Amino acid sequence: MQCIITALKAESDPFIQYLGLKRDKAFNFPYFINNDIGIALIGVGVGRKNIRARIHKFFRSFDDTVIQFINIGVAGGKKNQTRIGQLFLINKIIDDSTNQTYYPDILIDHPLIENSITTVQRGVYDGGGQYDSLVDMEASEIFSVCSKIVPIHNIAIIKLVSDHMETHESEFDHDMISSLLMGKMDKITYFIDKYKLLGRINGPILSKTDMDWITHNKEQYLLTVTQVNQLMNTVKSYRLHNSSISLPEINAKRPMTKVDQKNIFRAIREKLET
Amino acid sequence: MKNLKPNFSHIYVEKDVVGYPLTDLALSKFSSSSIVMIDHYKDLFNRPGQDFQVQKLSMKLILAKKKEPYLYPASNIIQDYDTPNVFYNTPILNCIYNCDYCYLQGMYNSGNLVVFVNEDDMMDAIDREVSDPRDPSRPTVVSISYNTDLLAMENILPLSRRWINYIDGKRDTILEIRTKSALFGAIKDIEPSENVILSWTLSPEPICAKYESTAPPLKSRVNAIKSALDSGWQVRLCFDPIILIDDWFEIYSLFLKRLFQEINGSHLRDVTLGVFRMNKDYFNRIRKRETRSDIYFSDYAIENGIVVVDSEKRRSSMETLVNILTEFVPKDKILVWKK
Repeated sequence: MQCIITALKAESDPFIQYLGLKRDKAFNFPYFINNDIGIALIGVGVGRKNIRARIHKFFRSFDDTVIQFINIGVAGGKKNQTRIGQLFLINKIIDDSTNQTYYPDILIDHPLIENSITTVQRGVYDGGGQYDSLVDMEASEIFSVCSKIVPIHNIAIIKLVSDHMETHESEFDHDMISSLLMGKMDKITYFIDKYKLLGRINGPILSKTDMDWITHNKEQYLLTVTQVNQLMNTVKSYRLHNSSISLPEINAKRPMTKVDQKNIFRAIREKLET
Repeated sequence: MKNLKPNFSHIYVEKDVVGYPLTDLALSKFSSSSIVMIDHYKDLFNRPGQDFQVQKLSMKLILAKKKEPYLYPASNIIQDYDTPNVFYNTPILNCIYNCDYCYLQGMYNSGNLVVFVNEDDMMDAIDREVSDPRDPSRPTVVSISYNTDLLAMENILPLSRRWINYIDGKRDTILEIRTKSALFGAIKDIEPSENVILSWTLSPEPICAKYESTAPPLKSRVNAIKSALDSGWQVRLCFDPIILIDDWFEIYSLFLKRLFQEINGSHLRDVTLGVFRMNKDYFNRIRKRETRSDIYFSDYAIENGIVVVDSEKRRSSMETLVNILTEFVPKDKILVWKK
């Protein structure tokens, strides 16, 4: 599942429309989803305050699913370095208040220009002379929160320059922002599509069915913690060698003695190893 | 893999290493890469939440300055080299290859490579150690390709060449450059140095195909070895790790017989041999990271914090292989790890 994180309604609307996302009332904050394409969107508002709680709520609602978080939104750019409407993939995030720096893993071959960004506490309206590149109000908090719950390569930050740090956020024109994002939708969705591939690499070796098989046999044959760990490794080895063959059915009687139990355990492992 | 950035698409540069010759060289080699300035390599390399194997699909290069210690005593996981003065250093952290059995995937959080550009500091540390060795009657041996494959990087950064030039002619000092690379051609023009051992790790073809898929094929490595021997270099062959797969005896005996039809064993400096073994913490970390290699799901013994093939199997397999090897290499040149 991919989760787009936006701050403003003007940022959400183009995605809701373009990706056919439907409002879901599961949470008491803006949450939209299209299960057919595996994309959701959550709105976190401007600044840091709602980010942690909303991302955690969303994340906890998905069991056993690889989640990729993609923050897409507007940023202030320097007048002499950027054009309004220019799109960037972020490769370095500096938190202006803590000086903490984050580095998204950029593994996907993408057509976007890369840039760094500074996340500030308050809007910047003086041209941003003191900042090296882009400025926003959410990226560092989003990266910080997400990096504690998913691998770093499953977090991406995309920013579109909406102003040159001379405009107060209350003066942002909803239609202008939406239209700038809509104008870049092909590039953004191309990235999102490619990015999905990364989420499919290196998932768990055992499926839920495999794990259920282990649990069933653990209970049936009264396996010890050590035996369960050994069985888990044997099952993983089996799965690596037999990607699509079901695990064998074990039809032994429930053990009555320790010797029985050990013999059954040995027999299970031998069956998997042959 | 298609859809992924090529290796070294991004170069992360510590602010402190701007202007070092190796920094300039690396940046000139990758002029189209994205350059990201960083404060300290550990901010990137050591951070939690990285996926070693995913990062290996598109490795990045980090240029950094090594701080002390510049030299480390050799671990008890390597063979005895008949001298207590054995050390290793780390001109590079991590390897361009990604062999299944490699401990680096358990040692480091990151699949990216760190190149330390202040090689002079590392060389000075060797000079200091050599001037006051633990055993003055024995030479000092330094493995410079221990947590990496230096020669494999030679076309990117000519570090092996620089280290060979540094060590050549120094008394009582030997550098070991361990590799799986076929890039001997990149240093072929250098006069062979008595201070340098070029060590090639070799495995039978089925092991190469299954567990060393990102390293050069066996044939290319053998050709590089032949070329190095012909040029007069001291060559060590490392059959390490020996992977005791089901039909290991047939596979390894055939492999050794064929290998020594091509290579004259008496021309080798020595041969090392050892079964698969790994620090327990690294092993467990690799297992936890859902490695796709079946090596990590076999049964092993744990001896002094090392995960290792159980002693009986280990001794008998090593004896068997030593017996085969003695047909081609004098017994006193065969160094076996069987602690």
